Amino acid sequence: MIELDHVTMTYESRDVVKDITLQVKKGEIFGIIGPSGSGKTTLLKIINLIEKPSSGRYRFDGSVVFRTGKGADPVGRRMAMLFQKPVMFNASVDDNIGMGLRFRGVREAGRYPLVEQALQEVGLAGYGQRKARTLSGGEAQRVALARAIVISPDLLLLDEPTANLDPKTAVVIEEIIRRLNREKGMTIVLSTHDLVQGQRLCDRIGVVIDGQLCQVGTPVEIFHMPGSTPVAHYVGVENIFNGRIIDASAGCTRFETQGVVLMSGSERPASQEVAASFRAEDVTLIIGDAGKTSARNLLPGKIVEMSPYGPFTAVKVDCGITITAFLTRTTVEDLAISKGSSVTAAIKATAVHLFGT
Amino acid sequence: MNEIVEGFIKAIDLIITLDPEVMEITIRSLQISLAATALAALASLPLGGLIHFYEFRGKKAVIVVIQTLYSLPTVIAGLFLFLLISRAGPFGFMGLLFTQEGMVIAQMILIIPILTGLTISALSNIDKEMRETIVSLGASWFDSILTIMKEARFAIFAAVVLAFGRAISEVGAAMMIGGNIRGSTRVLTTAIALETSMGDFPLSIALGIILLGVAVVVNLGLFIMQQRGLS
Repeated sequence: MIELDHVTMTYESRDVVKDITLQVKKGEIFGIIGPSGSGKTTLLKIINLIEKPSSGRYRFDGSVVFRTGKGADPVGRRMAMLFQKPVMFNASVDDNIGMGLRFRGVREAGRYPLVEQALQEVGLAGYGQRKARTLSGGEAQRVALARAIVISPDLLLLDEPTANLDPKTAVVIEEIIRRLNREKGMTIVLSTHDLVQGQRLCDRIGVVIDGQLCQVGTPVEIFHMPGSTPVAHYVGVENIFNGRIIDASAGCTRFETQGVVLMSGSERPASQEVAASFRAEDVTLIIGDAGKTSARNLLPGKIVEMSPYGPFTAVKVDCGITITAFLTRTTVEDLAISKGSSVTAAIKATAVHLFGT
Repeated sequence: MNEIVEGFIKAIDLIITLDPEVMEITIRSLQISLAATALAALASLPLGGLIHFYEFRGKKAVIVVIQTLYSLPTVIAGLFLFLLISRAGPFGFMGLLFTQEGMVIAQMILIIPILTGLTISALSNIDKEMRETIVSLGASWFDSILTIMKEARFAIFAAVVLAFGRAISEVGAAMMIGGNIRGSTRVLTTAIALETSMGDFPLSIALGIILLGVAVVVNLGLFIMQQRGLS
């Protein structure tokens, strides 16, 4: 549905979006994740024809999009965008929601049932006559969503749709997004810095860091098989080691870093410069006999640091390389470990991912 | 001191008894300034919109010039117009000097910069997010302008009120162009100036109270409207 071909956007001699080539398929929920200020919003605005890229080509449903930034483009009218900070016009909720319809020439009598339906969809039935500026942040966000979906867009763009909302309202918004996609087949592109939300909602994810699209893949690929060190860092992979491939046989590649050898189920990367990564959640700590585990990487070491990490405890183990493991509180208690304890870090070869750097 | 107190008492009496001269001057003042404000608004709002929405070379310079003209001395505006419409001037044939029409034009010259400038700043205050939302909602160019104007309506209305305030309270141009002719071009401000110099304080004070009253009523109306709009 969307094809961006080497799109670059320069703003005040800085490339905000750098040479992005991206395809979004019809009917999918595509997530753009990345740190704040990485260019996610600009990318969405380019797709929404609000910003004109400095170079590159943009195709929508196969045809090249020319006009941008002027509005009323026939292509532009097939999409709607929900901004991170919803703008409420100084009018009633009904008038706010009906604005897109009004711009499309739908008369008031025709607008009313559509507006009411949209209000119902976002769970704000009966709010129509209220002044939009008096709504709470969560309500305003839902009204803005209703305003976007009332025109039945083929493509819905959502910029950090739940960033400023309380968790309860965020769940409601996420539910609406899922429903729009499943029941109406709406193609959705959403940006978020909430990794878990990206994982929950999206069919595919693109990681944008510093204006560059670093990796595109399914949530599993992105979170477990990062393609580069910046992506690995961004998606919260704690264990990243640069090293070299010793040898590779069917289904197993041996990787060496700082004198420690790791077995990986990954294919051998084409690049000479290689890094291995695995998530801290994939590391098990064993006390005593490690013979029963099926993990192929068994690295004996000593605990050098233990610190709380949300509901987990982050345990750093010096095995020649410092490996981080996330353990639940009960696991820590069962193992009766503390700083200085001798443990064996067990990591399955399938959890160790290799990538070129 | 007694003179002032007596002046006030007589002034109140003139107002309460709806003194014909006081009423006539008041009505004429309102007519001239309302006409000038309405006509200036008709010209300035689209002009302000045009300057704001169109990108052109020298735009910033134009805005600076407009803002400078906010404080155009009324006597300079009067002099400029006088030279244009006096018998020897290029528009002398129109016979506008010492007429109410001439006064309307003089007041328009004074307030067009204010109205245009404040319209531009009212539109500039509509933030980028709102413009982007409007574009995103599929507005045509015309729809965009209309919607932004509508959002800025309170600020624009405030500009109109301010312009009316300047129009009705100025004295220099009214005196030079109108000539303060009794029963024809005498307005509140010129009458106050004249009556004060002649020592007729009660009439001056009465007209002064009315002038202030007009300002209070207009601004109160604006305040109520803004409160309703915001709540």
